[in-house]
Amino acid sequence: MGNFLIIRMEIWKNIKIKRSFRHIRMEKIFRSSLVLIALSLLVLVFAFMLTLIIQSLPSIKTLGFGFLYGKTWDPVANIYGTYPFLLGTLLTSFLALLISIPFSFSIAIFLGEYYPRGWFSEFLKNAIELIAAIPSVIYGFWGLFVLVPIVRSIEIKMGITPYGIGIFTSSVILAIMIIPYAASLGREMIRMVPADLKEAAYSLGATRWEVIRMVIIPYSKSGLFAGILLSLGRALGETMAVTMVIGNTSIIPQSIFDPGNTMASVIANEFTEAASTLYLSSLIELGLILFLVTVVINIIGKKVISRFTQ
Amino acid sequence: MAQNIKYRLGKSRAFKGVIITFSMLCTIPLMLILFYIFREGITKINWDFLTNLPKPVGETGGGILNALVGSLLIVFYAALIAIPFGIMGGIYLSENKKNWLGYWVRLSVDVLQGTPSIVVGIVIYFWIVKPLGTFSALSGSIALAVMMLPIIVRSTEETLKLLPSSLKEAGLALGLPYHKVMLRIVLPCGFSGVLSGIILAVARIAGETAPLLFTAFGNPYFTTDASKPMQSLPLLIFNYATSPYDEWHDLAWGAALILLLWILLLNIITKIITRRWKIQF
Repeated sequence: MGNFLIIRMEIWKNIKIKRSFRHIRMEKIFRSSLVLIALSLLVLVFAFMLTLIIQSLPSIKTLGFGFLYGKTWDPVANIYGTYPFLLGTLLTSFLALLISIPFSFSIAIFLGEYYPRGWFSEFLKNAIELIAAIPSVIYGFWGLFVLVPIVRSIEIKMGITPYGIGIFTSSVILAIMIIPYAASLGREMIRMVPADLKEAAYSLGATRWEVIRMVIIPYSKSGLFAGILLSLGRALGETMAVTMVIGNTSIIPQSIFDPGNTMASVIANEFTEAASTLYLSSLIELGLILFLVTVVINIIGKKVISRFTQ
Repeated sequence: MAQNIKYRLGKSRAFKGVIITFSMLCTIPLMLILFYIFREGITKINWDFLTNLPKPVGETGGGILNALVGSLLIVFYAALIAIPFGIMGGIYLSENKKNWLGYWVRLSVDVLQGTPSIVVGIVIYFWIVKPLGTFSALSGSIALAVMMLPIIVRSTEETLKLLPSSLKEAGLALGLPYHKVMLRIVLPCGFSGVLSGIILAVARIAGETAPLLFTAFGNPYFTTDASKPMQSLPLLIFNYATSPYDEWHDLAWGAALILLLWILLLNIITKIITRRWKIQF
């Protein structure tokens, strides 16, 4: 009987030892899979860049820098100059930025300084989040059926060709879409201005506006700048809404009311139709440029934010 | 500074007025968009709309069943792919705050977050669609999963960072193996934060169109086969909205309202979860 008990205890001990060995093995597997997945995220981004570079090699080799300043884009004649799209992208993005900045900064100051709490600021905060949540294809759809007729009637009144669609219309849509990015970041930054700085200015007799202009804005300057950068990154890469209302012509726009094309919209429109290798790879080169520019803008933006918050 | 105090106070008030007006003005386009989509969409939605396939041009009626099912499937597969990777990546980052790999992974997550969605579509086209030789729902899901990853990684990381380290230490002191501490103790404690990140990511990608253009491609017929091209709500809206036919515009309005309601619902769920969670801590 006693013998039997000892044997049983031996078996139990073995099981326990085995179990803890299994645990140690699992622990190792878990740790290494964490590292592996983290590495795979890094590899993913590099593979992204590599794929874009390799696939755009044919056009980089044949077209060189002429690709960037060539003024005609005519796939039928095998001429690929992307100047019209670069211009279109820059025009729409900066115009959108110009329109959206007063609004997003007002919201940032409103929520960060004037009314940080209360039902109305809750409402405004939710509204801003909602603006960011609506899919871009819905913005494009709405723009096509509501904004385009409005712009067209304005253009008729101004006496210019009433396209309705075009650079200006897409900038307005884009401006609405990018308001939340600069607004929410700006709000966070304005909140972080130390209260004693503000109080010191008040005690010197400054009015609210003077405090905002001389204390809050200088203090949160770099944060506000980062917000603008992130908005710009969004605007540059935005595809669907712009594609639907910009008009999609490869002619260089003469004014902001002309139809045009952006880098993203030309990719969206022509990628599946691109038959020749050179055509396809020049579209991918556009994608590569877009990727690199947005990456640089985003990294600078994030760096500014992290320096500000530390 | 020798200006009249009345002038300075007036200027201050005027500035406040300007700020308030501009803030108000922002909500107007939002209201207009919501109002317009609801007004146009609500009349189109009925039972037939949800259970029928789109009719060919010229016939009235028809529905968006293929897009509805397609969208759900594509997003579901995308979540299935992205969630494990995202959570594990988030755990890694929250555990390794200062080493070099953590720094570079954090940077690449930032890069991924800023990548234009159309570029994701191009890359996945060359990774999946071209080798397989056909557009497929699966490639669309992978493209969307890539877009979900940064959101899930970041929300997991931020949530786990907020948890007290004594929680982990207590588990380890009891002799629990590391993986059990992380997966059974730390992760469940931050569950609501992680979950709200996941739902937010789903809401973000449910309306994505650009990465699906060259991957899922769209399909006028009903399919549940992930290796075939599949229709999704945003693709349907894009294709039908830019078409010249009124019947198709009607379908697109209905689809837009459904997509909008779906995304609103997901956002509200996220709100409820985060609010509850904040009260708990």
